[in-house]
Amino acid sequence: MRILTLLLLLTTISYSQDLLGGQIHGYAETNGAYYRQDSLIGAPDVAEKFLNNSFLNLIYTNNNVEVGFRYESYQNPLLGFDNRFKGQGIPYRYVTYKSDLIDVTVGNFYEQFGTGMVLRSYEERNLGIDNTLDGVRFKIRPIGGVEIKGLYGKARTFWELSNGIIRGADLNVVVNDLIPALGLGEIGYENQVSIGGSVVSRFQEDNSAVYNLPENVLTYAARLSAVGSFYSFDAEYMYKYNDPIATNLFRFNDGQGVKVLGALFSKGISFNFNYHYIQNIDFRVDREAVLLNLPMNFVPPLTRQQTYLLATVYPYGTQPNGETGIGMDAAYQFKRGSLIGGKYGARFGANYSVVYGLDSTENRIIDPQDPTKTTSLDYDVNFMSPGDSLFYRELNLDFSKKLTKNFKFAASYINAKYNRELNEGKLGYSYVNTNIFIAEGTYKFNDDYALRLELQYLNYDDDGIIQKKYDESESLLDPQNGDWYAATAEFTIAPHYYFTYIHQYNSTNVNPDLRVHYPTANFTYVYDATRFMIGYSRIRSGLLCVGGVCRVVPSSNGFNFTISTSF
Amino acid sequence: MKKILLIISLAVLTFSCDKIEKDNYFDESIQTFEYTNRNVLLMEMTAFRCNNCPPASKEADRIIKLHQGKVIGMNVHASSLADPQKASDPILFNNASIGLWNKSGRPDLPSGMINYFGTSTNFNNSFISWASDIEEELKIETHLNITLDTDTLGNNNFSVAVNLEYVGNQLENERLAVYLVEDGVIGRQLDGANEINDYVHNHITRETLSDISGVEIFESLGVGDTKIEQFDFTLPAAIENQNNVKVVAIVFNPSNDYIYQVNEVDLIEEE
Repeated sequence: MRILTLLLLLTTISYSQDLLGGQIHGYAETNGAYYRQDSLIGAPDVAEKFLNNSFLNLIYTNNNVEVGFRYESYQNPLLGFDNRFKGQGIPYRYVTYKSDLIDVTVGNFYEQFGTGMVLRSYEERNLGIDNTLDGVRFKIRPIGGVEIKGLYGKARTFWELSNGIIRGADLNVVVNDLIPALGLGEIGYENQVSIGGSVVSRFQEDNSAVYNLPENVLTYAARLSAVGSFYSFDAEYMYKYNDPIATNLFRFNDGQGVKVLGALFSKGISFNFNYHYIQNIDFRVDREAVLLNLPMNFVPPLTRQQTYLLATVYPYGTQPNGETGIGMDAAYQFKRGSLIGGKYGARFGANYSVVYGLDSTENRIIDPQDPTKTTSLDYDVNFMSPGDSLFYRELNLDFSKKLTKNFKFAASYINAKYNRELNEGKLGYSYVNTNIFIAEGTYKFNDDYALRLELQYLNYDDDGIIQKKYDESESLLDPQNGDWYAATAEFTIAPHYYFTYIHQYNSTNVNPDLRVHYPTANFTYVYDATRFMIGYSRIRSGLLCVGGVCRVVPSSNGFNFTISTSF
Repeated sequence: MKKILLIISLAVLTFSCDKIEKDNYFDESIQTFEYTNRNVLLMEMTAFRCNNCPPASKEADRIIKLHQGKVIGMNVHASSLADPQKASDPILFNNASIGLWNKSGRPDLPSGMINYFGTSTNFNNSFISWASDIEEELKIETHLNITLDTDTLGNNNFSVAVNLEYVGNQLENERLAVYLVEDGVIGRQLDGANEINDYVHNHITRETLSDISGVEIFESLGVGDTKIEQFDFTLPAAIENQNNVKVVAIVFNPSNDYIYQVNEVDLIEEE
């Protein structure tokens, strides 16, 4: 273990090295934070004062064999990460053999079938998700254009393995490659078509004294993908048999999902379309798992994944128990020399998405455990029909243009209607309407020096809901509501130095004590593949979402640093 | 192509699916459950800032209600997640709960301990199996019964007499622990991403009337013998409503913390 610790500390050393005829590669990162209590925003007094998350990935390859492991240390976990990560060890290790015909992995692996609706084993470090499977995986390519995957394993839950066992298989056929391989003649490659199917099953013992729970839960999916010179099209349908779990409140309904992605593109113009209908498809490795623990599937989000600060105050998270909607994205590139394009050209983009709940009706029955009450264990639902409840709606307009050789400019407008009660589970919080205005400019002094400035304003309206709640209870600690201002200044001395200052201000929070400033200052030094960052930040509580999956981030105040390197 | 079809067929055969029909959602065995003389303690480790805890507490409440009078709940609020963050936050931890949490090896939250009294090796983090584990315990006859009688002494002073009635021979080194728990305390609770300000906290461990690890029962008692242990006490200031207080008595084996019998009584019995 001392060797591992030493490796972790030596993150400034960047190298790749031959060893026994093979090569070693890796990536290491350590994130530390020193916390101070900030009772104004509810930032807690952290007993340890200093918390740290660190990891090291090491991969050794030699001809057809790859061996790897990841050491992780959470002593203790940074605020916002599940405390069950506390500790250190090697939760991820594997050996893979690869050839043209077959790949075999024993130990840990990540995998995704199709869009991920039936299976996605992945790591998202920012969210604290790591559902790596520990078992065996085969990938077989018996004929050109055909790949079959099979896997068997348990999933990681913090430092242990899940109770549930996952079994899965996936078939992917690239039709264009298969037809020549079968001797059926050459075909044109203007349009590439592939089809696929997946089947995944979870076994978990029925240890409930109340319900008759299915011990084997089956999901399957079929998909089609086509890509041409001016279009792309992907569609997937999935079905899940009855799977009463904690996150669907032990509903016995089967689940279904439909995902359609389309794109049309030509020189200077593009249009993307995204539709999905999902009903009761949350698939967990353990039926009792809640929040971000032990997911076994994933639904790509319909809504834009925002990067501007104030656009992330009210992020939308995909609702796997049921939602349907569309997302559309269009972009147009104004040519150089045109009226709007000017000397350097310009780009205009628009994005619209809307998500509704499902058209469903609960079936209430007398609760056999308590005949004075009713309960609901299933519901009727109209397939692919939206219900009356709006979950989220958003319009984005973006314009960017290079005005001179050294200066480029971008502006965005975002209008969103956010169902706060649904997304944050806060009863009675209803809807939030926001209008966000963003302006950004980057001036390049020379090849080495550049300054980027960003100004943002969020206009907030909730029809007086939060004000009413505050009037009822003046201790309401809700740092999100109200108008927000944000400014960012980033000065770069390429290629090594980055100075960043961000300032956010909540100007009209219903609680006057929470009309506070949230400063962040960072200094970053980059040398080859090594990065050092040290900073100070005051952070409000809220949701952090990545790919439509969200976790609650608590308020915090303090200094932080990151050191990372790859070799 | 034959190879592919063979592999697919094998794959599909590997996976099976259990379909539960609509009229078969509930396990019928519950309704014909036959009790013995044993009661069971469900000790739940929880905290108001533990956002995973409410589903477990809900299941605990359901089990306690289902096996009314046979399953005794005792919630131990502890860990840093029980520390108040705001002036309005409930103070649900105390020396007794911290002592029990430490005795139990500071488990993750939520955790449930079924018929064990504070030991680090007998936690069950899987709350969905609490009901079946409890049923297994309820089926086992035990060698003593416990009844409790309370008396009001005035000025917030009370007395409780714990009556031990042996229907089998006393086992060596038995200990008796007596605790006060309170129901119906309204206060903040995190629940997933939700924050509930008027959450009802039940079975809160408020105080121990014995040592945290109980007092030894010295006599060698046999079938038909009885023993009475009396405890006089002043109600702790943290108690919000004495009408919601219960006295819980636990007889256990100190060598492995296994509980032989448990019972509870309302502090102020209805007339």
